[in-house]
Amino acid sequence: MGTTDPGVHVTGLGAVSCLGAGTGAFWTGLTSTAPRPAPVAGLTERVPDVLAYQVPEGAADTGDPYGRATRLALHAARQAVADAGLSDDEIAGMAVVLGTAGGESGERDGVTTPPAGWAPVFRLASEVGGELGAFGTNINVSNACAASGYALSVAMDLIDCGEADTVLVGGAEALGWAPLAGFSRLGANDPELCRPFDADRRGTVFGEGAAMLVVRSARAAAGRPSYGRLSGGGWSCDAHHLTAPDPAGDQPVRAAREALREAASGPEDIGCVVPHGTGTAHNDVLETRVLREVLGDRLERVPLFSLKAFIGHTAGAAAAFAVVAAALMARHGRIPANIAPRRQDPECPVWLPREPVPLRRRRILLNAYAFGGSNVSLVFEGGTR
Amino acid sequence: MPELTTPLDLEDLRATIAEIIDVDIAEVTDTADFKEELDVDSLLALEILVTLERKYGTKLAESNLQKVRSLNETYALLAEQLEAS
Amino acid sequence: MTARHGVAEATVVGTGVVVPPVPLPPDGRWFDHRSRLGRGHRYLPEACHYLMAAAREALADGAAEQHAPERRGIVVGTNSAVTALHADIESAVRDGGIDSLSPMRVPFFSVNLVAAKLSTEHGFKGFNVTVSSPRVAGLEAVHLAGRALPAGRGDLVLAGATEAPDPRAGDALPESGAALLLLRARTAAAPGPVVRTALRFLPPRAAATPAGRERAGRAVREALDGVCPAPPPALHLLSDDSPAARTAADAVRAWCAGTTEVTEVTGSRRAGALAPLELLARAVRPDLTGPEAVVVASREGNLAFATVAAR
Repeated sequence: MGTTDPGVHVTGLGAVSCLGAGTGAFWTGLTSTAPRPAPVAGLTERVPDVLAYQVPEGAADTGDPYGRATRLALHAARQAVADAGLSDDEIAGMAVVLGTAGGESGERDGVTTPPAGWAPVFRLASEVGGELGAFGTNINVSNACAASGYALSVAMDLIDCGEADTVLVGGAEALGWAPLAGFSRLGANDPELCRPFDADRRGTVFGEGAAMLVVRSARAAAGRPSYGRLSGGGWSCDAHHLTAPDPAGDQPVRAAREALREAASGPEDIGCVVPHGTGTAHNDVLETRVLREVLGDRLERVPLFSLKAFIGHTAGAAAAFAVVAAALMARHGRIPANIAPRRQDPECPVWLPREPVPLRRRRILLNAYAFGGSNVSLVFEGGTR
Repeated sequence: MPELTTPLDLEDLRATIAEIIDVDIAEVTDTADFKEELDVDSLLALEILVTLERKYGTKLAESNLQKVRSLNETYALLAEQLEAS
Repeated sequence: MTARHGVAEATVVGTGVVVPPVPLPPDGRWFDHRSRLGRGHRYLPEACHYLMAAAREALADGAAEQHAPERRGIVVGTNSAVTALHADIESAVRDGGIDSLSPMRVPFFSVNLVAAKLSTEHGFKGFNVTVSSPRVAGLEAVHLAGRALPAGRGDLVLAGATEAPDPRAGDALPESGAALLLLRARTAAAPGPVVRTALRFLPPRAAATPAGRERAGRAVREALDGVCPAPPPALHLLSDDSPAARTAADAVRAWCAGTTEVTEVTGSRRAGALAPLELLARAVRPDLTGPEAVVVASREGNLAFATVAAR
């Protein structure tokens, strides 16, 4: 399969997370470490159960005069653009679609003297586009923990309808008091670590970071190296309860089935699932039910890669991180070992391989379920080497 | 941060809960079930718990959420907590 | 029927506008959620109240019932819907950790919950998306709705903006209220007012170079050519004194010269994305004929163009 195939080709990747900066550090981290979250300076003193998976000090220093979320986004964006080998003209013409849950809201924490000018909180795509000099369509998506999944989907739509042929797309999340303290108030923070599907899980743990990709139409990607294609996406909304997912799971099932349908794939074509898997009591058991419904009796034979156990819940950036991980898994032909739950929840009989396993089928299903009930699933199809 | 705490009084508790749930006082009968009859979901139950903690100056662990099911039960829970402290 | 390149379009089948009356009542209180929405909404942030009231207005004709829940979608744009709540949370945490945080209020730190409430209220299960680009987020929402409809993601979409005052609006004017359009895919079979949108971006630094200004000028002209099926008699221009906005505004005025009366919203820029949507929604009148145009240009570089026309 070459880059002349229809669809949306992934030609560049960038990542900054607690595993460090760069996709090399990201892959090394996924294949050889089990990071632990750390207290958040200035916040954990006031809210003791708050921890976060934090970008190592100095790893994403770019010297850019922006807020933290934009600086993280820019670091990952420059990686992706360089990885894609874009020319200056291509950069000038590219669209930018960025997902975030909190934007730069964290920059207002602990600041008693506000700046004189209005600084809109959700300006990440604008600042990235501005800094890189990109004149294409520029969109900021704020769908909480599914934001970058929707951003990726929007990027696919822009390419499909011809509004763009090259899109810099992804997500970025910096830490903020409101989400971390908010989750603590709701009893949704795990005070130890992010341990999806663990019987003793007590909630999620946030992570900061940014994951960016360059995606291109087949024509624009022709002749360039490609990681593969985003071949399907599906949207849905629970419309059930503001904070708790609908235990029936109809809508996440529908999003996954729509993504598979668009990718002309069935359960037998899926080589791996990167789940939303946050470590909250509700999500992991619900998602298991969703995957059972979608994969049927293949559930126990399709390996999951539980990414949030490595980098925490990166909220608006989570889906983009999942696609970066999928692209790297496809490139390397294998799924890294999971961080094994101490005791896997018997209500979550998903397969979390404790050793690396080969990626036997090139299609990877990715889920992201937002606080508030917006769901998105994507199918990434790895390219042939 | 210690707040000025309120002595426990059934009618005052009734009015407080009615305000939190945003219903008429008359609907908060002694035994009306919050969840089944007054549409209180787990988040609103937590709101009740947290608000009563602050009002009465006592810690109510989240494990007590299932005891916050009616006015009578809530009163009993608070009485027990305040007695113990 | 094909839309022009980069232009999204949809048919407008309903509108809802909830904004403060002019003049405001002496005490400044213009919206009582109990009387406007009924009981049970006291923990929702005000931007959510406005949005709910606007949605009820837009859906009053019962259009939603003609479509299965999974065929109904929502796209809402906002800049400042929950900034006041964030400030409240921040100061509560600063003073005493989580003790004084309200479990019912706190979830709205996640800005998308404001729009998500509409889905639970009206059973819209197709999709629910929040977008947030500075100043243009409302038109951005309409644009994405105009893309989602022909793509088959849904058959009926509520799209618009909601805002509440940003306590850190600084030199910008806070906004309050909500405006929504109810949209269906544009088909020959279903005539009705048509909204057309285009999004553009001008990297602010490019406004300092002749090449950048030339490229911006071309982008603005193409966008206006795209969204205007005919020269509009009237165009509302919302911009500010920043380099990017001025460059875009110059190009807009040049395009309009001689054919289109430009009404500029002068004074400080607004700290939100509501104003353009209010203008657009109000343009949907029974006597509407030629296109009415709205253009927004932001300091950050985001530009949006929209028209409403009878056809």
